[in-house]
Amino acid sequence: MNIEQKKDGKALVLAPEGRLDTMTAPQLEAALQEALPGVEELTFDFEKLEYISSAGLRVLLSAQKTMNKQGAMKVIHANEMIMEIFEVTGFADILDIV
Amino acid sequence: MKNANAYPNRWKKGKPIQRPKQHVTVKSIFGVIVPLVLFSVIVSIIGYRTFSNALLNQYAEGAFLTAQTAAELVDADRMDEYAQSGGVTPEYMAVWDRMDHLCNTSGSTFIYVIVPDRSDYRHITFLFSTIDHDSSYTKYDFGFVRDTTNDEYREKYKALYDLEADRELVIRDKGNIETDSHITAMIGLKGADGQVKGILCVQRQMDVLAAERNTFLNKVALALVGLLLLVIVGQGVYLHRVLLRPLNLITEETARFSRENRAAAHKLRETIRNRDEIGQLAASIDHMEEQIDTYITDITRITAERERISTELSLATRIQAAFVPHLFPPFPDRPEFSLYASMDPAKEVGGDFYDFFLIDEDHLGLVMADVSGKGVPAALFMMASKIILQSCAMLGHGPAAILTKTNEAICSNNQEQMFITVWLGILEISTGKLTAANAGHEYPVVRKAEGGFELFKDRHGLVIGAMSGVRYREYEIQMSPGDKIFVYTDGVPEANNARNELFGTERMIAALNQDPGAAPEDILKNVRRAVDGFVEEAEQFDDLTMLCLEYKGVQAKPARELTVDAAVENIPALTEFVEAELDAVDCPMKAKMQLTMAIDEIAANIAQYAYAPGTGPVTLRFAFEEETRTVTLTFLDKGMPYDPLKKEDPDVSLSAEDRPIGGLGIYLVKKTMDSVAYEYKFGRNVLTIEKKLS
Repeated sequence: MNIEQKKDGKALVLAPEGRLDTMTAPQLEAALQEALPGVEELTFDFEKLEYISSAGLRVLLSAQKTMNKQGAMKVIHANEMIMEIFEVTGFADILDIV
Repeated sequence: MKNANAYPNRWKKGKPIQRPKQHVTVKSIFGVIVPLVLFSVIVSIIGYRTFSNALLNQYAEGAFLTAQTAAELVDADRMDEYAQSGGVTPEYMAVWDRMDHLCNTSGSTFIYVIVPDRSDYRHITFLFSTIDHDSSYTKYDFGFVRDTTNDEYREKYKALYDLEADRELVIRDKGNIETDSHITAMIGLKGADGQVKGILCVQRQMDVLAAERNTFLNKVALALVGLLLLVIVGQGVYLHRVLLRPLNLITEETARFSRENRAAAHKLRETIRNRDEIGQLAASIDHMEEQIDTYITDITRITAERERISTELSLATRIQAAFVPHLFPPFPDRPEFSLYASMDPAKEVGGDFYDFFLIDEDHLGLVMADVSGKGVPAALFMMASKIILQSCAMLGHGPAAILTKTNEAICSNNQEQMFITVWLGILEISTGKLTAANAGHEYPVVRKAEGGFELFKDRHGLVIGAMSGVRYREYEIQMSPGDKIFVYTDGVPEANNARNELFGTERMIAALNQDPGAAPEDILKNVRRAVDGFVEEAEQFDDLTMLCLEYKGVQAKPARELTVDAAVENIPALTEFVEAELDAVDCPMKAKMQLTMAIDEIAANIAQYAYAPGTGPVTLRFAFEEETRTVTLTFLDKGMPYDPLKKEDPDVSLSAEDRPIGGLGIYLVKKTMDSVAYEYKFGRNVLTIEKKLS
């Protein structure tokens, strides 16, 4: 999976492409582990993401927990299908979705 | 279990006993008093009369005695002399003096001598006349003539003169009298010639007599009242003790019993010791209470028992019904054949049963059987037979060997001499070869290709359970796609109508051939409808059990499936396989995404847990129903049995900090799919999901 990263000082934007599922979630997790220290403003840009599975949700939840300690996190450009998953699983209440 | 007091509700509420408005004691006292008073009054009247007469007689005798004495004073032969004496001669005076003395000492009021006018006795002439000085009377002067008082006097004067009587008595105590009541005793004064020369009268007042009579009356009245009071009190006390008190006790006891329905701790007989009818009544009530008590206990126990049996019977019916496979279609993932069966017991529990089961991936066992007899014994025998048959079948032998083994097993423990008829078939699914054996059961009905149903007269062996050592023979029917076989119990051809006619095999085959090409379920419905139409009003006598199998053949619609090693790396292979299928049926993008995600979640679960720590195969089967545009995905793995649907749904309202990581996958599947089902079958976890494509 291709994950586009943009770092600007303490702000980080991550834009995964395709499907965030069992196979690809570990890649995003690894990318976060590497880039997250010192980040105070994390943004997930889901413009090119098709869908997200429970494995992807796991990564988002763990990122949110980390950012709760060191700054803020938001999700942008989530499509209808992903929004639906957020709604169903209650993630819509946890995440800051713009 | 209901308690002993709760059951007979209608006995529970005894009518409250009202105080009687009339008392037995009062009634019975009145019953005694009224005759007693009547009797007393009669006795008093008789006594009074007798006493009165006796007293009067005595009184009169006294007067006569005085009259006798006075008569001695007067010389009857000298009456003329007295008359001419002018009342002044010494001789006359002497007589008068003594008479006056007698009058004042004898208690008489008036002593006088008269000579009546003998022509008609209407006048009397007084010769002597003396009075009691203390009385208010005045004497008549000598020679005084007056009218006779009345006819009574007249007649009596005449009687004396005519010598019809020596003495006469006049009683004047009632009627219109001018003086106080009195009696007058009169005797004739007879001369030497025996003729009456005059009449001597003695008058006595009756006041003494009346006083005596009053005293008598008072005493009698007093005695009567005393006696009455005595009787009232005595009778009251006596009746209260022997009648009323025991009666009240009995009334209270019966009221208590009707309220509490429990025999008393103390018997009535302990307090009521009468040896009369009351005593008997008390003893009877004691006895009755004991009997009713026993009866209530018995009936409560019997009712509870009956309820228990009835509950158990209906439970038995449910267990029996649940014991034969009753989920249709039974093998949705086996498109090679289609199967339907039904069982309608005549009674609550019956002895008929059908059964079907996959012996292995390629062999389907079919059983149709009928146990002799009905009810619970037949049901018990049916349960045992079904288990033995299936167990023998699972060993992988042919139908004849299965029946032989089953027969041996049942015969070895069949003391009640029950038996069972069985038709047993085993279908080799891949080839359509049906091998069957028949132990005294009805002929199966077979439909070949596009033809109609026909009775298949197979060879019958002896019924199972009759005797050991029986060998059964098997035969083969080659089924082609579209062929059907129908098996049933005798309840179908032997269904009775009100005119006692049998439904018969011909009618049954006609019903099957109404629409021989229909699905098995509709075939059975046709037969059932025909039987119902034939039987009409008559009560269902026997069980109706039927089974129909349609062989569709392997080439019919092979399921598209992919088997890979259960590993995360192989998930894309599975999703790609399904995506290709979905593209072929023009699946909308969103449903495709959701299905892909579902495959990802389920396959990831299987890959991570099913064979941990080793690995094994996972099969994904794809099916698409054109009509409803429903996609069915079936995941099969041979890992450890695990039902992911049993897992509780995660709490989606928790905050990020409280959220456990994971557990969302199957939840997402449940939310996005139309149905998700799990079962563990033939050593495999089978998870089936359905999604309707809009």
